[in-house]
Amino acid sequence: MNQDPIVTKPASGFWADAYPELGRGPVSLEDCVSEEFYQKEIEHVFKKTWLYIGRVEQLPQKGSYFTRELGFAKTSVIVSRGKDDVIRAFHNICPHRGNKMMWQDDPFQEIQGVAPMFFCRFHGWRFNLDGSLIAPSRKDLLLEEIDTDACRVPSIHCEVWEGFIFINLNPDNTESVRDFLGEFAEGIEGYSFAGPHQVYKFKAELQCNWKIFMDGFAESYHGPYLHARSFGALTEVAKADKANPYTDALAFQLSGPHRMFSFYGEPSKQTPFSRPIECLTESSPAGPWNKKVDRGPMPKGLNPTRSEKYGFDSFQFFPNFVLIFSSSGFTTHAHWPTGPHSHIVEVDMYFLPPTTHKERIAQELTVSFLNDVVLEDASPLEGMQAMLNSRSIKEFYLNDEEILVRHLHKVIADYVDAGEKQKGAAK
Amino acid sequence: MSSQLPEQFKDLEHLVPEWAIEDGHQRYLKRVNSTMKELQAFYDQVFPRGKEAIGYIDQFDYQQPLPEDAANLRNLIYSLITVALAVEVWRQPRVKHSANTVLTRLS
Repeated sequence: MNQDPIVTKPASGFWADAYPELGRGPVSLEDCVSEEFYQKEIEHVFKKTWLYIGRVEQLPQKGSYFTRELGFAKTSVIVSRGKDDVIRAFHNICPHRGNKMMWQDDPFQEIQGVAPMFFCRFHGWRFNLDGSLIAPSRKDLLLEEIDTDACRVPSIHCEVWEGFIFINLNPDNTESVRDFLGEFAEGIEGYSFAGPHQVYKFKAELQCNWKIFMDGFAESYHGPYLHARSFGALTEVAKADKANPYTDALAFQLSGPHRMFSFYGEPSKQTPFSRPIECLTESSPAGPWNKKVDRGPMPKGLNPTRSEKYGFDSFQFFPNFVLIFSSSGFTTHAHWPTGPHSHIVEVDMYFLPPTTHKERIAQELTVSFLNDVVLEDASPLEGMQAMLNSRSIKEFYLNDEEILVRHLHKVIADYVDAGEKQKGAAK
Repeated sequence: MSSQLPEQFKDLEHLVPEWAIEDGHQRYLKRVNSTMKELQAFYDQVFPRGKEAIGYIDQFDYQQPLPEDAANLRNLIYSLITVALAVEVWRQPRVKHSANTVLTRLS
């Protein structure tokens, strides 16, 4: 690993001085409240940028597929691995009469499976896994020859980076996902993303705007307050560390529309504050004790300050994909808006497979604890959203530890402004 | 029919029908639908046996399915973890301030 830090705090002591374009004043919260803004955000952000939609392990063999219900875009998507091993995405619709192609029992439930072709059960039309027409049923009834270039399962831009599958709903998009993800992606390439993995998955629909949840995971400033109970041990350990008594971030970095922070504190060890169940299972919410998983050399983008007090790194790829690296492995958060004041959050943990029952039990402590901590994070958000909707305050007062919050809301505003200007110019 | 729990854990067998829950989501629902008194009673019975139980389970090869009685014991330990968070951290069945919100554990 390159031992030179790739980021240092400005000499002034304020991260804001590294990113003066973000300003220092209050930030409008209207983007979390307004129905009108929400519609523009869907149009100019979610329907135009690369979106993380799943991992290649979900498509283990030729013909494997899964569907995703993307309510915000008013569509359902099929992601499948072709006979040529290329992963493709399609709108989940038969081009014949518009029947929904892949579903079972309930057309609005996501499914997964293996299929040698796409078969429409309405009239029996069949399509290859690249979306092309194999054959309609009852060819004898055709009134003219079918234009097979046009009569295809409608495709969606789909690319894979390090096993993460992304789609882009903008048919005119020309930027590759790798170019879009930029230097942060470069900095973490080489991590052992390919596994094998022990996967733990959680999902919930919360009554708050997706950005509010992202904001909560964009700073550790709330740790000693909101997580006083769950992460009290970390706070107590930090207090004894005169250099960083409030668990301030080790680093913040911005890269185009993306952002990351490097989190202080390596709590995956016994402390004087470890709880009885942690001592019994020799584990913590950050991971099993003293079991720093050896995943080979760390990519240069991780632990960017090269700190010995390093806990984890959290990358927020625009718009809604969060990738967190901890001693246990990596965790993804995906945030899917379902309305201006609600969203679905998916939390998937990719840990190294245990080799003993004791290791598996230690992971169970970590996973169960993280479930509770995520709920602790989520707990104020629904009440907060309800109060933001009152519009009795108009702005957030953000300090230097909340610079990533400032960044997300600015980038969103910039995308929406640019999109609206482009629309105006086209008229 | 195999025993519900290995011989040296027979005294915990009465807990198996209700608490030997492998599925993470069902285990969490069991916690939030229990009273603090019930959670504390479970914790008080199982926690003192925790170290011995984990040692017993850990004798088996992880790559092979556990015998039914050992699997039941492991599932009790899983439940102990879920319950311990309520007992040791929150001092209530649900996460503090989380109202009715739950995450659905899918795997």
